[in-house]
Amino acid sequence: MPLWFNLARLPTRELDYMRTLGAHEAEHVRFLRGVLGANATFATNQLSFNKAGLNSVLKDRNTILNTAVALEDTGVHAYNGVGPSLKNPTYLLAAGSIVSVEARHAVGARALLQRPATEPPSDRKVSDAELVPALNPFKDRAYDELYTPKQIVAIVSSLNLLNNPIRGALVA
Amino acid sequence: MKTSLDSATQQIGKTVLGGFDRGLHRLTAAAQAAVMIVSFFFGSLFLAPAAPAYAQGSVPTPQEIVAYALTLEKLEAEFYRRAIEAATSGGLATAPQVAKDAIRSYGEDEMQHVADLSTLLTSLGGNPNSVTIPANPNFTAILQRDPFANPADFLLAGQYVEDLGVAAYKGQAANLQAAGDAAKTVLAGALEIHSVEARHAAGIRYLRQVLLNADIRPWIRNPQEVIYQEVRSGTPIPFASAAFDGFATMEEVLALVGPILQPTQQSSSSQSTPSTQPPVRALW
Repeated sequence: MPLWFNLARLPTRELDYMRTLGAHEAEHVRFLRGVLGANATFATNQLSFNKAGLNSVLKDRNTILNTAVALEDTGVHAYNGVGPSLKNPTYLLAAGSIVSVEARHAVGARALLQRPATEPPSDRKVSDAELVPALNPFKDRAYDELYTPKQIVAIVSSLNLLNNPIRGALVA
Repeated sequence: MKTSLDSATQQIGKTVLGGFDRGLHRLTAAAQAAVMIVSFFFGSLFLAPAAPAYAQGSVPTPQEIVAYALTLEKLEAEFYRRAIEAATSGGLATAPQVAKDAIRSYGEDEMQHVADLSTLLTSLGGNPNSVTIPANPNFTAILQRDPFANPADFLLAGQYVEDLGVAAYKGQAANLQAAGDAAKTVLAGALEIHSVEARHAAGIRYLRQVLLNADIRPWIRNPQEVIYQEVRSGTPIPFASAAFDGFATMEEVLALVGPILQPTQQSSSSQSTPSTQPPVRALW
């Protein structure tokens, strides 16, 4: 139960933000499951969390918030990254509808830490040289670069939060 | 930068008004009234009816969308330039340093967007110098009072401007998608900017919550917090949820920014003095 134990010790605003972010993400999950239907490759309760990894990111306020920043910034890069691959205009609009909320989440967590709202290049997990040029006409602080699904999986894996491998056609 | 903002030409009438005319037939009666108000200003500005550049119901081309985005970015950059002035020696001089830092940082981002979208527009065969805004935009139209007079009003106006920017980019994503592989990089560039506008909006919202104790959060909890239509029916996307941000069409955005694009009149002969205009918020 490390999750609840640590969250309960957060100050009021931090607690409000983390609860809200969690509730929003749960709505995103519900929506995406609705879109995927039988094409979803796993059920939520099949996810296996790495307890040691979770404990280490939940150990105190700053670690929790910094992890939230890492997850939310990664989410922004991930949704941006798949945007140009989508063929269905409703799906693209839905992705846009979600990604700007992820950006708002990132800023909420960043602001609580007095970190800047926009992402300085030094915070990026993918270097300029690794970016796909055709998907990144612009770079640096004023832009949220597009990461490929493989780059996203590498970032998520490095957090050591999940035991499950992340599969799917895009990361094969 | 400043030079391009200061020169007004008729090109914007062609670029921007084409979008208006195309959208007129799709708008509700209330929105049509708003558009007619805006069209009146443009008509008086450019002394010529807008060229019917596009067939009704057509999708704007990538070049048109980039010109539209550049117009909005120039307005945003000018908005922050004015705020920096006010933070130095005007109504925002008393603003906390964290707010001044945000103004400077976001203003730099918008100037970067202007520079890069200008290059992009040139590459698409357009002319960024012909996408202009008035030398002295009527920012008073946002709140129907000077948004640079005090930190509380500036942050509220900034929230409206940035949230609208997010919705404006979101509203064009599918139009760029429709242009196919040729526009893939343009779509990618628009997505790169879209979420940064959301970061700005969230940052301003946070400052309002923390500095002013406003009942606001970095995300949109209530449709009344924004000046565009946040919630829509007839879509599988649950826009009514705070977890899903709404969008705004080109016609809707132009109707909202039209009063701002009207230059502040220096002479008394005009019927369009700012104080007689409804605030932007009342236009939808």
